[in-house]
Amino acid sequence: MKVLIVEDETGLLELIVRYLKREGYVCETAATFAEGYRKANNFDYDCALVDLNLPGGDGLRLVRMLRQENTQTGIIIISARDSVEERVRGLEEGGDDYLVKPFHLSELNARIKAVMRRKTGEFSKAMTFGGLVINLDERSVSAGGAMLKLTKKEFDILLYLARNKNRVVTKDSIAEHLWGDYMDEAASFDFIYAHVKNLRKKLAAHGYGDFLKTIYGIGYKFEVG
Amino acid sequence: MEYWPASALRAAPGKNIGMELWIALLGGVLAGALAGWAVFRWQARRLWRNLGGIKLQRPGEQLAAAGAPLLRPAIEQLNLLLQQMRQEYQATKQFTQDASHELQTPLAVIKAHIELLLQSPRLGEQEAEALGGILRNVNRLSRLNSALILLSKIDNQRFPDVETVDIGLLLREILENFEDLIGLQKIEVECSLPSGLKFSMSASLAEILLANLVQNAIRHNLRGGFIRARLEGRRLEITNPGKVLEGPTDTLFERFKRDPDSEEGLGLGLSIVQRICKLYGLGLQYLHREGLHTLLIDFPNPAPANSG
Repeated sequence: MKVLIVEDETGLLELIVRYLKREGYVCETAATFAEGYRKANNFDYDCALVDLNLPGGDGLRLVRMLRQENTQTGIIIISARDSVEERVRGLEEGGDDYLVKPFHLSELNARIKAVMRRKTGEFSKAMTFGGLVINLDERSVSAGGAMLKLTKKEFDILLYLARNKNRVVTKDSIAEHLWGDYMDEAASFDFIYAHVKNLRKKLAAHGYGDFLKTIYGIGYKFEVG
Repeated sequence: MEYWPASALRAAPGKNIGMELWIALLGGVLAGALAGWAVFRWQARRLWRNLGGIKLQRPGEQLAAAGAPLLRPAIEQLNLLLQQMRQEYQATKQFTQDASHELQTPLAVIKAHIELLLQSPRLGEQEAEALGGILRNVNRLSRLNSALILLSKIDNQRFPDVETVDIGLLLREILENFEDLIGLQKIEVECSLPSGLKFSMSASLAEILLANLVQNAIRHNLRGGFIRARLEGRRLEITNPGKVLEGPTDTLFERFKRDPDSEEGLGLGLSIVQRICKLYGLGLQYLHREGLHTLLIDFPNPAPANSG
């Protein structure tokens, strides 16, 4: 999959590229409006991450252009502007999702997969790890053919970890993913701990408990071979 | 104004006439003083009326000198002073906002670095633990910064998404969203939140306001405690049992006031609540009795529609 990343903060840009390359994506970058414009004009991308505040022009114009060129491109706006109007405008101009800075790389990664699934079906209806199947349309999970009874939040945690498989996902990233910004840290960590424990118990009952690793003090990892 | 040339007195032919003159003089002085005082009162009243009618809450407002011409120079000076203060205050506000915004990017870069470092297969347990510590504090910094940005945005009234919000309905939704968290702490929720109280305000601020109240009631609750949320008429009441607060309660809404025993809160939640209430003219009170903490919010009647 080919991804265009337009972001003027080069430090952040480089880190995004490093994170996404591990997913096997081919990453093209641009640090200015002009560069972004040229690349968006000359090449086709499966997905584009566009910052709105760019030297030389408004990122929204890039979004509009990318959308006109190709309706299949997944476009995610990444911006420090967080007002409701900005978000609405970004989506109206053709963005598929809007992620407010600062964000977790694991959140960005999960959003890319969600957008690509909606756009192209490239990430299919189900994620399969051996005998463990996460069915995205029905929001259900089966292990070795048996359906698991998961709560909504348990499913969300599992899906988030699976979308970041083989990576350490921090607790606060999970907390933000589940509840958004205004969440109490200590309380939400207790909650996540309790739910991962239940989730692991349910997976272990079918012999899949090893998928969920605890990284002490930091977070969790969904580990598959 | 009562000037009598001395020669006129001396030239007076008789004692009686001199006496009359003295009386006339005294009367003149008195009448003058009375008249002067009356004019002063009249002017002063007009000025007070003027001053009393002015609410200097709206930005850019000035004192009017129209009714009191004598006081115009003083009022103009005052206006100049007000304008200067306003400009300086604006500059300070702008600085706070810019500073917080500038902090966002380096914070994002630090977070991203840590997230990448955590993926390294060579990471030992000690290193991972140290990174976890750094991450926790960066996150705290980041949340603190977001809260400060929010506060400065409330002060700058940057929330145009005004809607008619159903307070009872919204609070029920928020309680539902926190349901699992409330359940985990074995807190009972008793609510009587009928729909129907509609208030015109920014939808996002309404959500922030109510979510902060609910979080506050969860955070400062006792394990196995309860949250009682009641909406009666135009008054919202949220009560929870909790530790007795030490010290005066009137500083409760100040920034960075928080429970010294708990490390969780940023100390900005109630400050945000207070700012939102002030912005929309909501009455906010805190009551404490026998281990019960209650926050009361009174929603004012909507302003009558302009018939003009």
